Formats: sequence, C-alpha cells, structure tokens
Amino acid sequence: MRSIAGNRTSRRWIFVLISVASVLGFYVLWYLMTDDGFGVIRPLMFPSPSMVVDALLTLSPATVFEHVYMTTYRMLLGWSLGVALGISVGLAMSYSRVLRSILDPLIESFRPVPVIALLPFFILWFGIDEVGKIVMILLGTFMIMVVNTYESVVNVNPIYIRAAESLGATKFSIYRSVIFPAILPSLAAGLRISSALSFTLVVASEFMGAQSGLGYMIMSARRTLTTETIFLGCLIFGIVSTIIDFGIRKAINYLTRWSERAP
Amino acid sequence: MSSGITLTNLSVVLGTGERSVEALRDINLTVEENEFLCVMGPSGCGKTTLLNVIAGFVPATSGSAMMNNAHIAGPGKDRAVVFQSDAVFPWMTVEQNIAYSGRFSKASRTERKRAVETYLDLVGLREFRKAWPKELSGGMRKRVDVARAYYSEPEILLMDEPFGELDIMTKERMQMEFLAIWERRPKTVIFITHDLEEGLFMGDRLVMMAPRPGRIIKAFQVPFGRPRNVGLKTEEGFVQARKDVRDFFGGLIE
Repeated sequence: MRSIAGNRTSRRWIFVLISVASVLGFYVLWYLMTDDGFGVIRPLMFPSPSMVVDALLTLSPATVFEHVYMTTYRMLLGWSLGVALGISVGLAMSYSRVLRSILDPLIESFRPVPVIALLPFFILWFGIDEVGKIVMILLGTFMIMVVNTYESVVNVNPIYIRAAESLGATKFSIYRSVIFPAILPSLAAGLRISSALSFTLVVASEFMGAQSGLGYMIMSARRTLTTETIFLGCLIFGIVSTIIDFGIRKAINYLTRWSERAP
Repeated sequence: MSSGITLTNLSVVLGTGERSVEALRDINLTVEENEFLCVMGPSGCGKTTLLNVIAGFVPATSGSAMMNNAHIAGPGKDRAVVFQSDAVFPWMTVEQNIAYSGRFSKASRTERKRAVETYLDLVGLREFRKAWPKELSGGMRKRVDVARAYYSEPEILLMDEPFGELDIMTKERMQMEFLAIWERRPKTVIFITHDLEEGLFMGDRLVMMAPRPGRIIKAFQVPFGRPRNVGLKTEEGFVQARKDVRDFFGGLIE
C-alpha cells in the first residue's frame, strides 16, 4: 500500500508536468498560428517564433544583453534603495510619534499620485541619465514599503514586546531584536509587489528618454514597426522578472525559515 | 525594610469614558520575599490586570504599587513575566532565546555562555538547543519561556496561567520541573491559575479574587511543607485541603 506522503510526492510531479505542458502548449500554439505554421495571424500583429529569434540575431545577443543588463541594474538599484529607505522610514514612523505626525500626512497625500505622472519632473530635475530613473523607481518602491512596514509593526504581537521589556530590553534594542525580525514575514508581499512595480517604472522611464535598456529597445523598434523586436523585449522582460521574483522569494523564505509560513 | 511587593488601596480603571471598566478595586496585598503566591478567581476578576500592574505594563489609577519600597513605574529586569500564551521568540533558536536574557546583564561573555548551558540543562533542552520554537511542543516552548525568565535573574517571577494551555500530563510534569527549579533557586513568585489543585500544589498561599469590580475576597495559607512531589496530590491531607479550600472560597471556583 502506498503511503500518503509517497502519494503526495508522485502527485506533485503530475502538477509540474501539467505546468510544463501548459507552457509548451502555448509555444506550439504560437508556432502554429503564426507565419511559421498556418499563418492565421498576420506577422505584423503577432510575429512568429523564428522572427523573434531573427530579431535577437540581427541586433546581436551582445547588444540585447547590454539592454537587459542596464534595465536590470536600474531596477535592482532603485528597488533596493527604495526597500531600504521604506523599511527605515516605516520603522522610524512607528518608533517616534513626532516623526509620524510629520511624515504620515505627507506620505498619505502623495501616495495616490502615480509615480509615472511625475516622470516629466524627474527628467526636468535629473536629466535623462541614470539618477532620474533610479530615483523614480526608488520613490515607487518606497511608497509601498513604508506603508507595508508601518502596518506590520502595528500588527506585531504585543506579548513579544512585553516579554522583551520585562527581560530588560531598551526600546531601541526591542526594535532591533524583536520588531524587525517579527515583521519580516509580513514584508514579503510588499517586497514582491514593489519589485513588480519597479519593472513597470523602469520601462516607463526608458520609454521617455534613454540610450539603453529594454524599454529603449522596444521604443526604437516601435518607430520602425519592428514588432518582432518588441515581442523579444517583452519575452525577455517576462524571463528576467520571473528570475528576480524567484530570487526574492528564495531570500524571503531563507530569512523567515523560522516562521510557520516557510514551505 | 521589607523586600517584596506591597499593593495599597490599589484601583485600576481600564479604558476611558463609557467603555471604561473598573478592573481592580481597593487591592491590599503584600507578597514576601521568596514567597510562592497563587492568585485564583473566575474569568474577568482582574487577575491578569493585577499581574500587569506589578509587571509595570498597566499603571495604577489610584492607590500604590510598590516593589522594595519604590513605586513601580514601568516594566523592568527585576520582574520577569511568563505569559499564558507563547512568548518565546519564534525567530530565535532555543539557545538564542535563552541567551537573550543575558544580553542585558553585565556578565562577561564566558559567564554568559556558561549560564546558557546551565539553563539548557536545567530545563532539559540541551539536545534541542539549535531547534526553532515551531519545531517544539507546547510544553517544550514553555520550558524555554521559563528558562529565559529565570536566567534574567529577576527578583520576582510573574506567571500568568503559564501551564493553562498544556495537556494534563505535560502540565503535571511542568509543575514538578518548575517546583524543582524554584526549590533550588528560590524567588518571589506570583502565579495566576484557574486550577485549584495547581494552586494548592504549587503555592505557599492562595489568594481568591472576585469580579465586577475585581477585588481580593479571601486568602488561604497552604499547610504543606517542601519539597513537594506528585504523590502529595493523592494524599488524604491534600484531598481534604482541597475540599476545605473549596468550601472556604464558597463555590466561587469553577
């Protein structure tokens, strides 16, 4: 007789197979529907797989890699700085009531403004080089993380804080040794949402003015209606953001391996 | 100069306006040094509020709460709390949880390391030192909690139904283990419990509280000597005392 655990393991393989089949099925469908197969859809509307490969080769993989590198660099730098600043300010706001009274109304009134709407200002202030793009991503990430952090601190079980107090901990050391680790699991959502937003922002900033990056590559291709290059850019975006999200999830799972949520 | 806790005409009102509740009224209580005091009473009688005042989490509305002749102004290292629910830090291993108490002492690194070893042995968790709390049973987590509180070397240990969530077997073992530790290193203990048998078995004195408003109605001196072991619970004297206390407290229990 099969054990329940053994059964589950073999079932998991079935689900992995289904997922792989789903992705493969999509590519087969793409192949069949476009010019490579039966040509149901016009190439301009939806380029075929071989056209996308051609686009990669025409631009040269090295050039494409350079674009990928620049986009990833901007996104990761802006996002990391935004995360660091958002968590720090969120913690500081929960720490000091004075700071909270100063910052809360400002943050709350700016938060509904889409960061992309401020893009012209960023170009005006910082020009079209790196600083403006990174600051914009930073700001978008910051707005998510500051709220995520503050709300998480409010939700920390007070019993941990009381226990630390009665063991002699000072307020600062409670922040370092109790509150910060306690909020890590609930920061996971904010980290993943803000990284997805960062990708949107990096493309938007590269659309508006850039000499490199996937957004720039797509924008240049748009002018000549080279849809296969646009499609290539989108595909690479999907791959890069999946890898980064995977990395973030792995890192969070490691940092919160003590919690019940860990797999 | 008396050492210990003195509560004089202590009253506590929780909340404000219409929603305020008179949690404690006119409490007068003295707890001697190294006394094991058990506080009992039905739900909502202010037991936990009483403990929170002594711990410094809740201020007195009127009257006074003194420790060693000084007003209690806030939580402090001289009073450790073992809460009813789990307060072991889940992000620290067993070892790190116990060592946490040492962070705020003046002892040297070697002394602190040795102390952690001592307490790991004292609560019998040496082989689980690297485990996360989520990997432990409820009883084991409680032992980490007790070790952490003991290691902080408080003058007073405040325990809020510490074994209330454990199953009967584990509870009984924890009572024995805790008494063994306490008899080796006596301290003033204020121990809240629902369980009359637990109170009689553990305490030197029982105090009974009643609700609305929370107040102390009676006190009972426990006649048994120490050390105590599980056998005591089935002795005729114990069974009789249990009956007496029940009558004494007038059916307020259970």
